[in-house]
Amino acid sequence: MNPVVIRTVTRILVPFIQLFGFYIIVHGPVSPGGGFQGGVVVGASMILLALAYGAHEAESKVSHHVRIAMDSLGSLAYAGIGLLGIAAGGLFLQYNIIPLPLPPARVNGIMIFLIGVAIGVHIMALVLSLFLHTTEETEKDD
Amino acid sequence: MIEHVLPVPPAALFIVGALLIPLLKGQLRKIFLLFIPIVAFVNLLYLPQGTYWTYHFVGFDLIFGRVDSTSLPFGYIFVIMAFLGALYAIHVKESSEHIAAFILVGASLGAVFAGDYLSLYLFLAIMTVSSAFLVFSRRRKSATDAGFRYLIFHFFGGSLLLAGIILYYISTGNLYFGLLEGNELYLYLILIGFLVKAAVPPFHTWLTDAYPEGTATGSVFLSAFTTKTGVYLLVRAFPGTEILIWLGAIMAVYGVVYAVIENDGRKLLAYSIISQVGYMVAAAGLGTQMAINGAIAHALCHILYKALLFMGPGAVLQVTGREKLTELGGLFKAMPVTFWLFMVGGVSISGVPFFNGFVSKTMIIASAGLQGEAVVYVLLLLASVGTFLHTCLKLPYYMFFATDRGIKAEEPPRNMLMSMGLTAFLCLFIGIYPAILYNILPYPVDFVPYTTEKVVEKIALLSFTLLGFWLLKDKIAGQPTISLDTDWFYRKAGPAFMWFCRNPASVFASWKDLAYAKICFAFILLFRHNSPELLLTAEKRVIQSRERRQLASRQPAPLDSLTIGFSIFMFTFIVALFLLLLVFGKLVP
Amino acid sequence: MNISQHFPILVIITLFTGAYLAPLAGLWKRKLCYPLAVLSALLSFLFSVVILLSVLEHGIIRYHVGGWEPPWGIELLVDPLSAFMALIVSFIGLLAVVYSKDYIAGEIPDKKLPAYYSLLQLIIGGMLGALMTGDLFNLFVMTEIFSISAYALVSIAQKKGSLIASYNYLILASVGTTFILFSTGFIYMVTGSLNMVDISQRLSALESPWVMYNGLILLVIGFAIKSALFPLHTWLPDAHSIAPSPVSVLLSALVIKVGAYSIIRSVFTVFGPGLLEQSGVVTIPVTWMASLGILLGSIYAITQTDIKRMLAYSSVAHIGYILLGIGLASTASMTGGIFHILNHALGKACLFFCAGAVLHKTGIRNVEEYTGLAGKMPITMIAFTLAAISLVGIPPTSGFMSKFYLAIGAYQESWIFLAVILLGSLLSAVFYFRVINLIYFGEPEHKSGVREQGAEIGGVVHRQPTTDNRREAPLTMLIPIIILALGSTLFGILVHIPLSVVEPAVKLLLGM
Repeated sequence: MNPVVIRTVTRILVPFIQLFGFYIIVHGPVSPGGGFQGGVVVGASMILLALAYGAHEAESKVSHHVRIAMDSLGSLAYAGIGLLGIAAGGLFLQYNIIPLPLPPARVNGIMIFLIGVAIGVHIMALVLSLFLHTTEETEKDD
Repeated sequence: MIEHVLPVPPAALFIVGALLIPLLKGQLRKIFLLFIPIVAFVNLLYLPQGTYWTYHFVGFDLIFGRVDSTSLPFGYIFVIMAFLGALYAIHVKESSEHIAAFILVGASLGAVFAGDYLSLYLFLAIMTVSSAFLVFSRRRKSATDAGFRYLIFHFFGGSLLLAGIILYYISTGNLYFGLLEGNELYLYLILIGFLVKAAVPPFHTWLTDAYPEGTATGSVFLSAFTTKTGVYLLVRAFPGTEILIWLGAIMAVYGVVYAVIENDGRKLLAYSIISQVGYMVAAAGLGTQMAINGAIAHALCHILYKALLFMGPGAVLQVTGREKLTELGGLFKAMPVTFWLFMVGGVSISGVPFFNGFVSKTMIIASAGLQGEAVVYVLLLLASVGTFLHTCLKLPYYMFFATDRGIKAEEPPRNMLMSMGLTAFLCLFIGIYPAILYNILPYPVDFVPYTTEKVVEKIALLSFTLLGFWLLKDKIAGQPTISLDTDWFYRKAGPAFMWFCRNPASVFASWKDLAYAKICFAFILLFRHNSPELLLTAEKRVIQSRERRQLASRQPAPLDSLTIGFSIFMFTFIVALFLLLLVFGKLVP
Repeated sequence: MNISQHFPILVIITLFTGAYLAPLAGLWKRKLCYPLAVLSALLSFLFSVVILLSVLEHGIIRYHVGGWEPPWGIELLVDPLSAFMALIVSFIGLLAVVYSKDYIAGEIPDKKLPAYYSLLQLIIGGMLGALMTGDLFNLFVMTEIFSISAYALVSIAQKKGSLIASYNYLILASVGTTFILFSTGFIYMVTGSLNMVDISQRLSALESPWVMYNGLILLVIGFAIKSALFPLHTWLPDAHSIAPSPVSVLLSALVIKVGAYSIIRSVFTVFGPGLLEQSGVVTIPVTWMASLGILLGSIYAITQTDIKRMLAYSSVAHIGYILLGIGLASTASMTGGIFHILNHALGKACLFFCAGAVLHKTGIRNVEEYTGLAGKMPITMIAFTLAAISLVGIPPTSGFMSKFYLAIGAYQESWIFLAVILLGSLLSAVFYFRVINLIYFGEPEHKSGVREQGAEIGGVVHRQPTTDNRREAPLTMLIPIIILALGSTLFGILVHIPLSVVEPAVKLLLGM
């Protein structure tokens, strides 16, 4: 089979898939979806890239170090938003009392959006990592 | 000044002292080893009767200091014995042996002064461990095995005791250790626990097994404390218990019979301990004031002369490295002082007048006579003859005279001789001046040992024995064999148990795993093609590429392989169980 | 609002934050991972101390995450039992992290250090989460977190057999988590709630007890696999013996205890003692399996020659003691069982640390080769002795006191259980004293001929203390060992300290 077809289709599709994924993340507070789902979609686009161009291509786009950083930073951001609630004098993850000059409903929305982004960043790195690690042909013994 | 510091718990003195031993070196340590018992003795003199050091410990009342006329004599003699033993062992450089010995002394004192079952059990357990360490100190295979059997045997006895204590606690709601009467189950469990400590047949085998295996110096400590603590416990909890009279009388004769045919010098003495403790157990069983006095007096005297007797072969072992009678002989020329000091112990144990055995042993025999226990009286008298025969005649004869095997020997180190001399002096002193012993006994003593009748009777009896030995001395020479005792059972039981653990139990385990694996193998075959692709790939990679190498280099161990199979089998099994329950749940409202 | 009110969540979040900081730190400077991990473990330990004190003073703490009221939101519920367990977990977790520094350097490649410390904090955080939560589904999630971390940690050293061990553990424990999930779903279906307190109120209103039993049985079997109750223990010996020693400590001293804790929670909090009295559908099988586990675990331990396998099998026996106490469900037995959680955690952690120190310094795993180690590593070996004596149950160590309570509780039920407890102690004496004997009095094989002769001549072998070949483990390993050995001894004398927590916990669980 000629990989050219697959590669071309992939090149066309990947940006749209990613755009859709980001849309799901960003639209999380008001519609079905959110960080996890969006993150999976974005991660899946990278998997598609890896399938079409080989794992090293995906690896070069989003390297191991970047994935680890995204993974950790996403989780830490989530925890940080949770701790903001405590810092504002409420309970953990109680973000409606975070003192912003906005109505509480808007504050909630912003915080859910931020959490969605944090989870999304975490998940997209995770999905790609899972795929790349399980398809590694031989483990590097270094 | 000293009144403000003392008294402190005697047990604490020794146990804390024991922990300080490794910090000291050389001459300082030697002084320290002798200093602790002296302080402890002064401490005891400042210890008036009463109950001290009671602590409320999470709902239990612990009494660490029940000082009365029953426990105090044991306290005195244990401390004196600690001094003599420390002096005898002072040349030993290994601190582990000193530590074990001092902890043993401390725990024995603790057990004697304990007023409740929890602290009693605590000290008995410490005694067990420290005694076992004294046996282990010999550092050879047979000693290790013997020490191990000792440990397990005493843990077994301890478990029964603990079971008894728990039953006692549940039925009475307290843990006070005192007189036990009635017909409850806990009574028997506690009694067996104590009988193990006192080495009453058939629970005696640990004694003859472990004591001869101790080091030359360690056995001196071993001989003094464990069984006498057992006697104290029996006197305290079961005075006047009928069965003890018979157990004691049989024990006295039993020990003598085995001692006469024994070949190992210190094993002979170990049997002799059983025989002598038999007197005390019988006296505890008689339970009259005079008998209790006799039991305690005999325990005190016994500690002294038995220590002296263990010091003799210990010195011989130290100098020559031999302990079998058939390998010894003709040492008199090289070790005359040792011989004469040993003989003081020999005549004391035989109850020759003017030695301490006489003043206590006659008391027990007389109290048996007064009670009208004719059979017991005769048995005890017979055992006394046998004791004279094996300890005072046979053992020294074959060790110091008989065939001269040309063994190179010399007198043992000076500290050993000093310790033996001091012990011999105490034996003689108590024999000549028994009032010092009688004054510390719990009940007033109106017993006069030195009547013409008793002295003449004893001397006549002993003279005949001497004559008999002289005529038959070649017939009762030790044979280099092991005489068959009940310890055969548990010598075999140990390996048998290990065999059980290694074979049926493990085979069962591996068989079980194998069966599961077979079932699961079929299970996996059945569902192989339905497995998700990813799992197969991952599994293939993990299992095949990496584990094949691992498996190839792995030792085949039946217990640890095949658990995947087991787990999947368990899964299906439990799901089936659950479904069954669900169905029955629906059917049975 | 007081900051101490937030400690139940902070104790978990600290470790999870630390767990995600570790890979980040690893990208920058690998050396930073260790101090960060120690810091977060230390913080969560301090938080646990405050939580315990506050629970004892003010009673149960409830914390509604996100401000959502139960039964809708996730509730953290800290009662004396969970505070007690949390203190044990965070303390021994801290020690394991401290111990890891020197031990792990030789065990795993430098590249994996961030992953190791990350997983280490995740496993501790997961356990603390499982202890703190008052929500059944959250309990499942937290159980999964620490279990998955555990699978990874078992195989992280990539030694011979570690993948097989990890894989076995994964399969069997996943079966367990599946059961837990089934049961959670089942209970949710029946009651419409996931909050434990809420469930127990709704369950008592149910008509058919069978519905309840189904949920309960699945839940208990699931957690029984996690806690390695006999005969579901087969994953344990491999996983615990092959894992790196700090991980063995976490698995053996903590993970299986958290499983036992979850059984307590599901039996006594979710279902409540009142509902169970009608039938011993769970407690009776648990009791008998625990009894079998005590005996067979000890017997298997006797046959082992690998020290860590021996300790692992001993854990099977000790989890038996704990679950026996819980299954009997009387005041004394529960006190003994929960107290034994502490004692076994201290003792077994100390023993695994000691075995790890020996492995680190000398490479010895075989029990027979422990001969004469007392001369080389005296402090480690004294600690080993103290901890072993505590686990055998010899006074005055703490192990004796918990077995004493257990024995009292056992006899109130049946003499058989009393016999099992005493026999189990006797059996454990066999294998622990075999090692102790070898440590202090064993003779090295190759010198036995010379020694034997020496023994024959002198009666006593005068062995000079050998100062030149003393090779104690580094301080980061030695200090946890010393602390644990002292702990397992001192709590035998200062029993009132742990009992002051255990007793209210038992009273609360039994509804008194």
